[in-house]
Amino acid sequence: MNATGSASARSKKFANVLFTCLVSALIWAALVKTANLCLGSAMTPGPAAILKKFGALLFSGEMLREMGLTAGRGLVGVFFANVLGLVLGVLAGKFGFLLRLTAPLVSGIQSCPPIVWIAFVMVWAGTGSLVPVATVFAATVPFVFSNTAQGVMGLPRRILQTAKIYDVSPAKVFRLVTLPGIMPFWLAGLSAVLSTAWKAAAVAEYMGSRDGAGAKIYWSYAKLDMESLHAWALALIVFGLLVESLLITPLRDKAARMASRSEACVR
Amino acid sequence: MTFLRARDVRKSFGEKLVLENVTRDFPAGKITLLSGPSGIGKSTILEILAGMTKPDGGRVERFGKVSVALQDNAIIPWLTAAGNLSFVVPKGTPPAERERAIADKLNFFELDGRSLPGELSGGMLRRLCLARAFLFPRPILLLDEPFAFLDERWHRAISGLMKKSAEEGAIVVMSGHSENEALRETAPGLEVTIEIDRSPVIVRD
Repeated sequence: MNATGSASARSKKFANVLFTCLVSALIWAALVKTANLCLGSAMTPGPAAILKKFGALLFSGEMLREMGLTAGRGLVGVFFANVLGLVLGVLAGKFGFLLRLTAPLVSGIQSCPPIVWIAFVMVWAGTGSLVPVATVFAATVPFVFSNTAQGVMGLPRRILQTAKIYDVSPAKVFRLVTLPGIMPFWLAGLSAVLSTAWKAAAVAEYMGSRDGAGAKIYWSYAKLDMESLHAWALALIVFGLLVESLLITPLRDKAARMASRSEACVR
Repeated sequence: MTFLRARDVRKSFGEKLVLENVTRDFPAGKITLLSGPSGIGKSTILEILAGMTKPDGGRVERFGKVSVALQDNAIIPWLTAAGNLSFVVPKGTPPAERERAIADKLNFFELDGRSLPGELSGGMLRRLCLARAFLFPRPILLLDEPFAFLDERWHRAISGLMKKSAEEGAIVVMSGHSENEALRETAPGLEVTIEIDRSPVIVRD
């Protein structure tokens, strides 16, 4: 694409975002008006009051601190999920019986709502950072495991056989064939993991932490501080959208590009 | 001492019996050409000889390290041409020797070492696969349709490499159709042809 085409695409994208924001603001205003009629104005503050509160939280540094805490807890959970999921996924992909053996368990864990993990961790370890970290870990480890196992199973059998014939060491095969081969699957899994982690961390903080963005929602609700409640909810949505557009979508695109590049070569 | 023998090898794919009683010694210092139409079972014989496909019955007796160039090339998509060659360099090879061998083969097969496989044509991928098979001399060389996708000039060049390997005492087994004049001209007296014209394939010494 030439420079003019690229600029035109950027302008179009910007116009789309602007249009979406405008429509969202109109829907928001309409909903507030309707809610005001049903619940009264104290329960449903208007966009101006919420944005004012949002600005105050942002500029005081509180919002960044609490959001950072939530993101940090999510990332710690994702890190441990990746360590365990990669190791187990590689083993399961290599030894099919392990995958067959663990498939029902993994499906079970994958379909568990985060509330189950939150309840267990709160019973066993009390409240605090461990609740969101453990919840994110439990909610995301099946994704990493399944995608890694799928990637290992999808490795071109011929290349592995050829490596064996030429006496290539297992360490070299792992470094140059297995790891790059599972990368598209891992990246595709990571995009799902990151979006799940963000949601799970916020829910876990709501239930079992004293701080973090999720806990702030809980305290706003407990004090019936409706402006704060809306401002924190807005912060979570905005941050989620940023993670989606800046991290998850590029990761997904990269995974798709890597997968299509790999397809053609064993011919 | 290098040897390669098939003894009563049998192979079916589903209901279809492809190989039956394949018994043959493949001589060192010769180029054994499995000649016959497509789909008759030549590739299956080579894969079984290489140990990449298990026979349903019988056995392959093999002593000596194997080099292969099978039909599907098995090139690693995310490594460059040079990286694909480097991948199979034996452990312990001095770096200078490794670099020289890779550069020689890339030069011989007219390939750019920095190219990724996705950027190469079918013929270039074939040449890369053959460059890998000839990178370091091995006593057993199994080449499935080495002339496929390549023109007459390459038929002669590859025949020359096979001749050199056979003269050094390697067992060379290749498959092909009827376009193997270059081999007969380049390596007269070294070629042993096994005509395969019926299915299931029965080869006896």
